[in-house]
Amino acid sequence: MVARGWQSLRAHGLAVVAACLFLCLLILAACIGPELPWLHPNTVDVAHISSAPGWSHILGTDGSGRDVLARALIGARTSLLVGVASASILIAIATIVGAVAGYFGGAVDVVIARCIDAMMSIPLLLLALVCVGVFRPGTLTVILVIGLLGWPPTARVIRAEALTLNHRAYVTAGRLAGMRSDQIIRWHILPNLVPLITIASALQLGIAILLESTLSFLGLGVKPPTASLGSIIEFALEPGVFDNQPWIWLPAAALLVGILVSIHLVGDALRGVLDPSTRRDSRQPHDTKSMSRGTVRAQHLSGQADSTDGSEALNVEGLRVVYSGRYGETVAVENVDLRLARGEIIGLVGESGSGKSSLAMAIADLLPPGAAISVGRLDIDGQRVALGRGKADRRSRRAMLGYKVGVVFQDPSASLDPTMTAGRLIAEPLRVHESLTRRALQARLGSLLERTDLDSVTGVSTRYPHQLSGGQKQRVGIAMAIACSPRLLIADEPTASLDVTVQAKLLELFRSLRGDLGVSILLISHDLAAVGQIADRIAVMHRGRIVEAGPTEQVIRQPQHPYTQGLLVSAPHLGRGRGKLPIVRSDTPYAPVTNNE
Amino acid sequence: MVEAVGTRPWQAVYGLPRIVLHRVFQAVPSLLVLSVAGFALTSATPGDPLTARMDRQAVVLMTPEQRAHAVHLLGLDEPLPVQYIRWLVRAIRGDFGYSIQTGQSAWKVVSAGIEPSLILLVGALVVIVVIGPAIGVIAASHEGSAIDRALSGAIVALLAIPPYVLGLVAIFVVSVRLRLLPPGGMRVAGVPLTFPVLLQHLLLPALVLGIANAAPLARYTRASMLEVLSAEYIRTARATGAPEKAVLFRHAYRNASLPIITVVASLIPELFAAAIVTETIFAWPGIGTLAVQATESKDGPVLMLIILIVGLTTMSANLLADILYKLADPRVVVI
Repeated sequence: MVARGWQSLRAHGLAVVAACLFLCLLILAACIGPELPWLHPNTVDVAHISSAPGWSHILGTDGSGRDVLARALIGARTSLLVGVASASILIAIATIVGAVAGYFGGAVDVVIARCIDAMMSIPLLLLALVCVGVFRPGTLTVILVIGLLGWPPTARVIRAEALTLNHRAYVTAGRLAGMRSDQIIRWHILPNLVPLITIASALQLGIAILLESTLSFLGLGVKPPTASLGSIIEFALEPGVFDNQPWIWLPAAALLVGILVSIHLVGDALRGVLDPSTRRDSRQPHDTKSMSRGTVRAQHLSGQADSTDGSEALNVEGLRVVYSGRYGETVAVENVDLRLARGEIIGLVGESGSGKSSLAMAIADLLPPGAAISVGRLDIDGQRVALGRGKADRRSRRAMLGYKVGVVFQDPSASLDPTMTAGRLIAEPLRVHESLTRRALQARLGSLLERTDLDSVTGVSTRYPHQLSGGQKQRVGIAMAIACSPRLLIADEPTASLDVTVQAKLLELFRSLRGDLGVSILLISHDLAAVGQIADRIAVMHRGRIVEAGPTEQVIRQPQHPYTQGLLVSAPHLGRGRGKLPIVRSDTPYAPVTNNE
Repeated sequence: MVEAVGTRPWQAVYGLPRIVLHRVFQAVPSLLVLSVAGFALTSATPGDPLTARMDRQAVVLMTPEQRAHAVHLLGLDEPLPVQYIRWLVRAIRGDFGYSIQTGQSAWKVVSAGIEPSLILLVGALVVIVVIGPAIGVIAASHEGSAIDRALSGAIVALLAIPPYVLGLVAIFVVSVRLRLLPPGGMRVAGVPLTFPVLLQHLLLPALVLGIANAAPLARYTRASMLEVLSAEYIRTARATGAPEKAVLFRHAYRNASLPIITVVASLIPELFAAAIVTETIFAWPGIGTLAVQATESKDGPVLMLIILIVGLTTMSANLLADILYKLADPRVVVI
């Protein structure tokens, strides 16, 4: 428990804790320090003028004989106070303007948005310079200038959020209930803007402190006798101080950097906690919710195909896939054995989350980084695959892809690079694996297009994926997968996102590929009926295990495992309605697996 | 409404004139708002309003009657809105009044700073465009590792460190202690401004300005790359057997760099702000230095002109970003 808390703290919190600690200590020091008699910022030590750091003055003294540490602390106090004051004004204005623009919309919104655009096209510092030029420089001027000019970026963010809140059901309900606009804004809009405003406050506090220090550094901010960190750093510009007496300006610069970095870290942490849209856990796969959790049980399914003599297209033994994510480990595939003879089509069926995609992607080594694969043996095309985690092994596995193993993915709309034309996409595996002349490449491309019935689409090779239909896109995906005539084709629900007529045509295409190229196909689907049309054998997966496998006829006619029976019942039949997929307990015994050869 | 129109990127240019026109029409009110605000501020600037409109020598020699006549002729006794319209008409004709500080025409004063500023900005942009994406891509491709954490830490530090502190420390270390590069200025007095001399003077300020502003781009590139790297088409690219490096650059970066173009454009206002201080500490004779001097001497006409130039540049940069974005992504078609 403690160890895990420490772990998560170390992942992103340690710097934040340090930042908070630093800020607290600094605020304390800035409050108390300058009040101490021996650390008074304006006491002049005539004996020590511009003296280097030493015993009497830890950080030395400046040109007037004042203690540098005391000056830096009083400077930090001014900077923090000016920052907090101006950021408060800024956030208040931004909240009101943003909420009003987002809530009322229409003409009000357009006018406000144009004003925000105009103000944001000028850097805040330049605007501030102009205003300081008009008014007398001084602490109050700086606070007002930053507060009154700095709100547009924050207002824009708040406006966008208010705009979406405006369409929420509870706002509409409030409006229908006859609430006044100001009541809706105060009760429904503003409270929901709080997380956003909190994040913006931290961000803008940093920006305000930076701006104040910059103005003061340029001699246009706070004026003596008031000192801020920026005005102390300005001493660096005095002749002789910059290079010969760096102790006068360096501590203030370091303190300023410390403050700004700390505020930034805290702001980032706040964003991570409060803004759900930035939360991401890249290692959490999308479909783990129904995957089985549990302990490892040795569960070998033997005698699935003929004995191992190196003649199979695929031989997997003892494959296990575990995802580790925020909520612990999830076993997606548990001890699976699978064999594919050359030219064989196996249909791998099961509900979503049963682990069939994980199994397929594990074979191709295409799982996301958070997945751990362990496998006893993996042969592809009769050759042992190097299973090491080293660079050389990973490279050799990658080199197999597109060459010996082709993969077709589920959603053709998402799985084709949107910036490449179909021609370039299909040619990619050829470019990677075969060094062909331009002409040979064109010829291969032509025959691949013909093979996948894409040649009837005019100008297909110069079209981008978004200019093709779903079925055409999946044909492009298939053409990519078979470009180098692989021995094994893994098709992960290739027809799931397409309509039924296209589905039938694609299944026909897979069948003809097997006939013409002699490729073995691992066809993954949740649709037992569709797979049954072309598969020689069917393997049924449930909760990460293969619960039943056998020749297609046998599995469909005489299903042994209750889960398979359920799958068959739940498939829709014309005129019969649809049965319900029963919930199968994970401890249901597996059906005896019969040898098909 | 997005629809497939062209089949090649250049055919997508089809809709470009429309975007340009649309954006120009959008920019006009923004510029007007800006000029009203600027005019209100500069006319509130204390000082003799006459010297801001006429040659100073002439003003000094005037009798009170002539002065009153001039004030009347220039419309300075008229209400502010009328004055604003007159100012606007003159500005459109290219007459921005006279600098209070030097007595020269404001355009002459400011235009002298345009070229040095452009040189510095282009130099900084080169630095930004080189190191920002590089840091982002390296961090993203090592997500979660020590390299990623170190680079992300550096990004946070760079986001937070004020550019002028970075500049001071750079001058202190590079020019004062190591004596590698000149500490400031754009040229050596008495020596003709050749390219090597310019480069020698440009290197440090451009690096400081670039590094200080590369952090947002680096952070954006990292996030964008991470998002793209988890996209399904990256898995497809890996499935073709392409080496990881090719996947990273040919597929991931190409897609991730689409929003990056917009980010670079959005950096322009911040870059101007950082340039103001960078020019000041490096004694670079650009618009930023001029702006600080004009503020100190309350030189309204010069400040006003600088604001207009900066605003116009920013808006043009945003427009350019839109056009580039459209050229890079074949899917973006504006109807």
